[in-house]
Amino acid sequence: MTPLRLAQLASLLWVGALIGVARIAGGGDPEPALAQIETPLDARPVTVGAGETALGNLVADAVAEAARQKDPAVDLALVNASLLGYDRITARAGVLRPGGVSSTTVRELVAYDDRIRIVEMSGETMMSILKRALSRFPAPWGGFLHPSTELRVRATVAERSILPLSWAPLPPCQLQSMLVSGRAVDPSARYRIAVSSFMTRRSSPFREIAGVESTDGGSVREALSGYLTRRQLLRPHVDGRIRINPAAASTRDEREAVQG
Amino acid sequence: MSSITQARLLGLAATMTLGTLTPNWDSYTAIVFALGISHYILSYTYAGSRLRNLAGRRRLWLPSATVLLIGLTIAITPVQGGLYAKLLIYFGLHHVINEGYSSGRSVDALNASGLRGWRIALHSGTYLACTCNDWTLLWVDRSLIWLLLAVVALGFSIALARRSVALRLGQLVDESWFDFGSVLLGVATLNGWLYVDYLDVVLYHFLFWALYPFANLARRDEFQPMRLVAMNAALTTAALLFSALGPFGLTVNLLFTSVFYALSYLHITTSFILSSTNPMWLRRFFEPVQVQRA
Repeated sequence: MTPLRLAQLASLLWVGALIGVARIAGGGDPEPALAQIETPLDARPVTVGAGETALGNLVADAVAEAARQKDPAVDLALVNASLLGYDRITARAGVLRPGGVSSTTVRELVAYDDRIRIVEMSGETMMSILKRALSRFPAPWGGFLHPSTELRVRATVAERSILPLSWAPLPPCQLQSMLVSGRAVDPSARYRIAVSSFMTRRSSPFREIAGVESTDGGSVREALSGYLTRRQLLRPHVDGRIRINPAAASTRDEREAVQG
Repeated sequence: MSSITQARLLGLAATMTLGTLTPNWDSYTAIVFALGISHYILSYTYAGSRLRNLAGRRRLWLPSATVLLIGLTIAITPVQGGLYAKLLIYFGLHHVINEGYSSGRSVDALNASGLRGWRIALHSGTYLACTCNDWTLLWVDRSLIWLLLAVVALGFSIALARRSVALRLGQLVDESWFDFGSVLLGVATLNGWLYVDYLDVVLYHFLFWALYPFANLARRDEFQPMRLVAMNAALTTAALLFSALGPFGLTVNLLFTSVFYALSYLHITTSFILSSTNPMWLRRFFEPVQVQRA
């Protein structure tokens, strides 16, 4: 064997050794499951960035529950899509299969170690944020917001042109109805909302709440871990929190809700 | 089979094996970053003569400083998505230039600038297609990527066909399988048949450059390739100690990641000055004597 071939072989052996190290140090002992999920969690950006998903609902509910432990007056939680499923899921397909969820999986499902920030805002500001979050539908983007179960939104967004080279400004999103715990949002009322720390940064798309006074509600990952641990068996699903262009989307949403 | 084809096949096989068998994301990131840190340090080790050449030419200090300043500006300019988002684009530029200028170097018929241009365009299109699932590029319309991929694949095919008369069939296959293969990879990713992550492309880049220099090094000294493997293994192991797989676990992960990002920006920026896989005008600019002799 020539020294060149020997070097190539040694390189492949080295890659094998790296895999061995990863399997022993990084995944040798299976972690204990925090909880079992009975439905798949789709964490792909194309999915979580374009509409309501089971994963978005799960994390938003976990954030709302954790925030209420610090501040019982919290009305709801909003979680930006780019916080979710940024990394691949262990299955390498972007979809977590039903089964045990460990703390490593939580780190993969919540891509950044963001904090929960509790901010107070007017109903008008909340509407403005939601309109921006939904305005790009059906195109996926990181600013799509997943609300906790208290919020129900119905919105109309003009269908985008299929032609990629259309530079005409998109018509704004129209909110048909927006309910918090069953009551219509009052534009002048104040709401306490738990959001991810990214959303309060100046670099986020939500300028209305950038740099505003906020209180800490703990870590998003810890919130999800705690939420899972307290329940043990979960069946996250789509339940119609956000319905965009209901005439076109309701059938699919309802089907997913039933299946979920 | 040419040395570049061997390096590419082995690099692809190693990337797929690591990507499939690594148990979780933390481990995968740790391995990719550790290989990256080793790649960056080795690139300076093997660019010693170029660095000395540069240091000895005062008139090159100002343009070198300008390039470094541009790199620093890119690194510190705040954008949505932070260092990661910028690196995805900046690395893409580095990767496609490397791909464009590492192929066909030994075949005169493939050294034409028009073909190189199409090859760079082709790899830009496939890079965009392979990373379009990332948040950073999610806003790019899919139909636009399909259109771009079709145009660059057609342009490259025509440019290659015009030079194919000067090539043997074996040469033609050897010099173009990777380009057409990356188009297929782009199509598979766009269609959702495959899930390619940005880090998969980065890992392939590191592994390819761990293997590609073997043939050149062996011409100088037959034991040089083994020396490179040993140095790569030692540096990767040292870097892994500070990763999530090391004894400190995730406690030093922020430092480990920060070092990787800092070295990434430095490596890509300085590659425009030091690397031989750059456009001729850039090489001529920073290394006038050697290129004229070549």
